[in-house]
Amino acid sequence: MNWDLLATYTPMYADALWVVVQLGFWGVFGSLILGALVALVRHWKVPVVDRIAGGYIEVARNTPSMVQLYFLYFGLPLIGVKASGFACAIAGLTFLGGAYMAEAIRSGLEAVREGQYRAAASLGLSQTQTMRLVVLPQALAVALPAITANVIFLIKETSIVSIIAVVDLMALTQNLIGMFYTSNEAYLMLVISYLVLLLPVSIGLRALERRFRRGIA
Amino acid sequence: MSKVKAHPNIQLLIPVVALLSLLLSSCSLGETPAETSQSAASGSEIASSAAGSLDEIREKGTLTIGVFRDLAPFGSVGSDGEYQGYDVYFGDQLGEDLGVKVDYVGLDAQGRVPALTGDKVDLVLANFAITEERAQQVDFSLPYMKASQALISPEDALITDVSQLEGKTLIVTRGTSQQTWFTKNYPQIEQAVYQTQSDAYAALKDGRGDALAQSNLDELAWARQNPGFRVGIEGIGEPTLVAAAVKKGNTTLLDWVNEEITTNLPDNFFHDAYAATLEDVYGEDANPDEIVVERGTID
Amino acid sequence: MGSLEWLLNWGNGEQLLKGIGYTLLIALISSALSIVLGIGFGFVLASKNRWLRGFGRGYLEFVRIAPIVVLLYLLYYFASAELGWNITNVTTAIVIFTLWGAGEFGDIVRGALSSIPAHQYESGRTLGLSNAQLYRLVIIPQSVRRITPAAINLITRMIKTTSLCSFISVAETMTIGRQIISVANQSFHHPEAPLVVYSVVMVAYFLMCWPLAKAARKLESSWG
Repeated sequence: MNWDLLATYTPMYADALWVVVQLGFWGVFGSLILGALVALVRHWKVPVVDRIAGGYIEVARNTPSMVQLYFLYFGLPLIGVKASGFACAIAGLTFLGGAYMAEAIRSGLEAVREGQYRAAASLGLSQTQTMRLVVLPQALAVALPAITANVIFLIKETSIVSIIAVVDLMALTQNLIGMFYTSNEAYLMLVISYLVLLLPVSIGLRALERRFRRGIA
Repeated sequence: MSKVKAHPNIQLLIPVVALLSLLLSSCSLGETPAETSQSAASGSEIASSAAGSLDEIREKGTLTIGVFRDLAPFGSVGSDGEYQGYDVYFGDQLGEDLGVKVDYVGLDAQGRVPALTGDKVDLVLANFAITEERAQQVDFSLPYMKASQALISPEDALITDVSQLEGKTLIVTRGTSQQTWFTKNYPQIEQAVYQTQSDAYAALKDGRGDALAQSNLDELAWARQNPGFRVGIEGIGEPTLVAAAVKKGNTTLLDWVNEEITTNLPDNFFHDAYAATLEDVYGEDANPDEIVVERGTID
Repeated sequence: MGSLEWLLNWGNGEQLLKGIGYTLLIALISSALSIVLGIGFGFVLASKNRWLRGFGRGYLEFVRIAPIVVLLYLLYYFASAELGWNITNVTTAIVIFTLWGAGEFGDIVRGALSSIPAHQYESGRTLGLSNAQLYRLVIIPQSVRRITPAAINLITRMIKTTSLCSFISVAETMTIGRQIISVANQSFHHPEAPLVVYSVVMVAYFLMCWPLAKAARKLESSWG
């Protein structure tokens, strides 16, 4: 193990880690927004759109993310939609994650019993107040474990963006090994980088889960 | 759901510690070549610890050769499911001369060295250029082809000098000597690195880069089929020699391959290989004498 | 010749089918092994022994956090070069997928076991059933109903994850798709090849996964 090499690699891995963080952040963000929209559409059974949303969820959940990325990156330009690798990666994560988040959020919404809505109404709360103070907190509590699982899942899914020339941790590791054959050092840095990213996220999300559970009686 | 645990994070540390110690312990293992005792032939401890020595291949009855599956006309899979190409032509002959079946394994550029160090193939015939770094990982035979680095770009935005790439994007394939060369010599030029050659060319077609760096031979072949693109610069850096590669220390196989090249192959074998696989592709654009290397000697 | 024709005629379609064969082979074998091992692992996770449980959770976290691509690479290339573990790429895939799948499924089994109300156990004992009988006649039939949808979903996830095996040169669906496109890119005759091929590949995966997902949902609602 060449320890000096590790020192040289550290800034490169830091850059790649930052790329993964950005992808993860925007991917999760996009997924939550898209997922929430789709969940509401399905929960309220909006005609027509509900069907489309259902179809979207099926396609996104039953095809591998790798194909989705390839399709976005190499397929779409042929009909005039060309976006950078980074943009495609985020679009892909949003497309995939949105479906999973939608299901998680919807299960949360449907877990809130009918009686809650009526009780809130009888207390004179408006629609928005009901949603904000009564429904959403409960829905979130039920949905949170699934949501946190999806967050970890999405961050791990970023590991294939190397196929569309985005320099994430896997891509960097493969580049270094491919050019200089320093497997030991590169893999060690890879493992460390993923841990630096995933451990705090995992611990943080679990703490969030615990707080939410305690907040609800 | 789960009961609240006193130290939930200790469970996270266990796998962390386990993996780190595994990696760190492999450092010491990495100093000596892997003893593939599981796969070594019965008893007969040959000097080379590499599995896939000549005797073993004869015993197995199969020669496993790593080639490209997506780099026509050197190594590709036709619609009949059979491998074909300049490298494959050579591989077929080797199998015939050794009296064994040939098993082709499709590799990507980056997988060529690991395929040998990891004992996945006996031999690599995949447009494999001899470089210093690679020579430390594998053993190369005598060369059978000459190539040089070239840059291909769209005709209406032709790159004719490397300096024109400043501020632009260069497409390369992961694991090729072009990737290494440009990283070492022009680190300031931004690279878009793709996993396979086919992805790299697809990216060039989509305009995701301003030029693609590859061996001149691949590019010439591709350019002829894809109007609108031309090889703007040839001969960047030193010319490269393409050779067969075996696992380090596999002297029996290496010596045999070299013997084939210098003595046993019919005269002008590689010219024949060229005629069978490359001539149609290049037509008048290339001169076989400048590409092919006979008997492993460069004049 | 239209792209779809070209894709389906010639040997391309046939090769794609072979690729799908590899996808299903890896996914189904890994799923079967994962389910069997996962049941055992589920008992480990639900164990009263703190150390056993802790070890189980640690293992589960590990297989959940580590990206599969990295594990495939490590086992196929790294372990072979450094430790001499030389196994084929298909075997590597099955091993890694099973290690991951068993962990995931174990957690599902644990969930199913713990979701059976305590009084089921108590009533069984009150009726004089032995431990073996209790499990055989009361617990397991109920657990099976709860875990079957999840088992089917696991198969679906496995099928999708096999796409990563292209990183270790398995000639599965993704690899064949890209190979066909590379042949198309050699010329200008089929510029729309990527769009067509990736669409076909997506449909292929969809047809493999969606029926399973639907079946799982139906079971969940009728057995739940």
